[in-house]
Amino acid sequence: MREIEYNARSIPPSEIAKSFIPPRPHFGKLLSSNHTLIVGPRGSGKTTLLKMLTLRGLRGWDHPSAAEYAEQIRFNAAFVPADIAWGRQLDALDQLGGKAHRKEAAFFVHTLRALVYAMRDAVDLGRSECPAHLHHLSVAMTPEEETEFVRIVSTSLALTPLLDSMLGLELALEDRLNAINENPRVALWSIEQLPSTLRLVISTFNGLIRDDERRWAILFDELEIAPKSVKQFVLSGIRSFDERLVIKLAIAPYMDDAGFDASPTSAHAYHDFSTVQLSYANKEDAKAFTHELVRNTFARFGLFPDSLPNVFASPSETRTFGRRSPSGRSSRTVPAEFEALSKKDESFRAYIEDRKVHLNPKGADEQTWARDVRKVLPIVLLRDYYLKSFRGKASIDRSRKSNSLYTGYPSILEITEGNPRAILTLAGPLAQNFATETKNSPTVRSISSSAQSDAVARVEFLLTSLLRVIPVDLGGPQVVNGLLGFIDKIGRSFEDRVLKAPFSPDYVSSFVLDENVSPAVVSAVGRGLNAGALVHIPYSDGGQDSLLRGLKNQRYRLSYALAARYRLLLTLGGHITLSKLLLESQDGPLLSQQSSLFDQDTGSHD
Amino acid sequence: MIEYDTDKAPEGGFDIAIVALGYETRCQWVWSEFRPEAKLKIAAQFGFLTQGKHSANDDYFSSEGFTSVVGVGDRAANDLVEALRQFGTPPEVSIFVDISSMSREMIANIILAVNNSFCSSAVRITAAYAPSKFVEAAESAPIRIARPITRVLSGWSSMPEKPLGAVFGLGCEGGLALGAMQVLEPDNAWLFAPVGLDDRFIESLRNANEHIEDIFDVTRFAYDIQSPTTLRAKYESLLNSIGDEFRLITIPFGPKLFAWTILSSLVFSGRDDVGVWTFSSAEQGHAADREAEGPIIWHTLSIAPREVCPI
Repeated sequence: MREIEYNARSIPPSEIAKSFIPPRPHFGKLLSSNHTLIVGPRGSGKTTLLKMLTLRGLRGWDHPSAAEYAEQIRFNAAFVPADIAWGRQLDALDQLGGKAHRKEAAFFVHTLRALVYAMRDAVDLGRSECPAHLHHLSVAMTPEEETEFVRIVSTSLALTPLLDSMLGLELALEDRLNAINENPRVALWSIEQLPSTLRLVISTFNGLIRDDERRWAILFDELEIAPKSVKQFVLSGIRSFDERLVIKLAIAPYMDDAGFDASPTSAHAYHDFSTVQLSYANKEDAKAFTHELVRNTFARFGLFPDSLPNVFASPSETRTFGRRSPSGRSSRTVPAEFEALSKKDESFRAYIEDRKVHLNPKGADEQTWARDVRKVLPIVLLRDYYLKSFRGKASIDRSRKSNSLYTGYPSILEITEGNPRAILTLAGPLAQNFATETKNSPTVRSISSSAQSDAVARVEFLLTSLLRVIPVDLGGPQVVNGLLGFIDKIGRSFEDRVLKAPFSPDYVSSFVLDENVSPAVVSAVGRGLNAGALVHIPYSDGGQDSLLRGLKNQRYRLSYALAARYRLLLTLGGHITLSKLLLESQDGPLLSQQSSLFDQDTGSHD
Repeated sequence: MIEYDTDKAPEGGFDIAIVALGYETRCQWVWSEFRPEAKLKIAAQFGFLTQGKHSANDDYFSSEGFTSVVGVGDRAANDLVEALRQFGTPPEVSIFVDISSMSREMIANIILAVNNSFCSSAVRITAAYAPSKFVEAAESAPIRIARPITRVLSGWSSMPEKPLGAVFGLGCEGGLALGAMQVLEPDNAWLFAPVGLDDRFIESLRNANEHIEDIFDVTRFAYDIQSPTTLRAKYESLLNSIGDEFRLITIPFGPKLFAWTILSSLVFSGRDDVGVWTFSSAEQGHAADREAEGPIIWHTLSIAPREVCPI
């Protein structure tokens, strides 16, 4: 799949810009001059968003809204790249001996170099043909002023650039970075010096261009990879930064070694940062972005479908979650699946007899019909699809090897959760094969359910293969199956409730991380969030940043990418405490000492 | 600097022999089949997983005159250096290493210890590898460690903005390479798939590594497991061709011969810019016994005294 880029980490901003779809309203929020946290799991597009704030990204972007967005930006952005491989290299610096704090010093130099690079970009733009919508981000600086800038900064930082240009300054900083690796005795800067050093560089630059108030944004990518001291400094010490400095941080939802200092004088997420969440608790919020990215992916294979719903065929033999009820909103016909399920599921037969929905459908009022029929229809579809029978308290499964229940529009798109990597993993191969099929056989009008079923499996595999390699230490001999094993326990418990237990109209598919679980479980939930296997469901009064104050007492659901694995609905169900869920799966060792066996199910249904 | 390498079976004895003292039946196989002469004999232990055939292997290697040293963990490379120092610093030294039952971390520690101990010596080091008989891949143990194989092998780049390139050896653990790719998020990956093995192994390997091309930009290479010299040539050619454009890491899944080849190649060439990562179940791994199956695969490297010794 060379035609599609799945990883923005090292793709130049100018290349990213060629296919960038701005997720609304996230991108708009990022353009403000507020300090911003971009919080999202792997593959959610954090790096792409940051890179699109840089001049190189904006210059290469020809989206219809590009000029409108660019005109709103009131800062020049310096992108500070990082990835896990480089993070581990920094870790090794300190562990291999010599002076302490070498990794801090390396991060310091790396940040400074990124700022100088952004300044050089602004000057280059000023010296070249500049589009009108980017003019305010360009800088007019003479070569003499540039030489003066380099002289002042290099003297202050004891650097000896070989060229008296900003490029020379960047190369001198790169040399310093190498020296930190090669020579344990090299002079080091501490992270506490970063604000004053940035202030010096900005003051010098702004002074020389006679624009004292010009703002500069430092965009830290993958902050969780930075040394702990740097993380704590950036997260808690933001008030010590110059007011001409804007900080944008891309972080995973959970960091086990740093967070916001809760003291009254420290920065508080709610006051000092605005937060952009790149996961979607409500699937409708991801719809517009997912559609545009899928259409864009199809277009790259020469496909321009009039209607996405028509492209994704529904399987002929079964109804899917995605197909609208044939009975319609005003119809009073009991769906056929009700009768089919009642014949093989004693518990469901008891339900419809109790509710008497089949006796007088025409006479039922709207509220009763919504409660007794429409609300339970997805559960009925699920049980009818997967169960061969339910007698007494025992269920027997039907043999189901495909994921056809999850195919068809919009289910096929909902499993991606609006995650760009998942969308491309789903849509890329589908579009490529569909392009070939339509070329060879012009009568082909839609993507088969079977091909979609493979795509559902591919998206699931993308996530489970990641979960398989994320270390998690849950302790105890019987609970060592890693993060995938932990997520499996949660998923199987929900599955048991909806398929192995007697029929219930109340579907439960989310949990609250309560106080009765061990710290290891809290950490595992955090890692599940970072991987995208779990999705945070903010409370209506919780705010975007509620997760950053701690994972406890927050509500979560499983990613819909795992729905087929655990045979669950693509619907947010009621919730239960995680301690109770783990007790049901007989995982007592994962609970804390204070765990109560009598915690009540707090199930709500929404 | 590596002067030459060969796949031929060695002739004559060695100054030093290093074997793994683990839980596999395979631990004894090469030594008992080949029976090389050696003046200093070291058995590298794991420090855990002392079940299976460990006790029998311990008795066997003790009777053969081996001294045991822990070969994994933070102190292992230093402990191995101490053990090797018994041999002094001769102008030339020949070393035999049976990697068949070693972990990748143990192989790394032994190579680093040899490089440190005999930095100013001409070293001839011979690896012996006896592939195991094919067994259906069991459910892989959960990953407990995902990091550079040792700190020294973290690699280095002063330009983290450069794209990350990852060279993978492929193995039979389902989804492991794809999962590792998602953790590391390389911009490009080069996959080395072994051939020349039991056909069942090849099929298992194919199944374990499906979907990678659907998601990542990768280039596949096949390598003949019976020709480590060719593998080393391919690997070094690849590094030389992409080293300027990418920051490089290598993830040696698959046969231990791949791990041996890339680790010896990097360490003895002094390439400290390339990181080597491990994704391992550590002590949570199941002690699944492995029996060896002939023939023994050999790889001998001749290394000139290094101009700069590691710190």
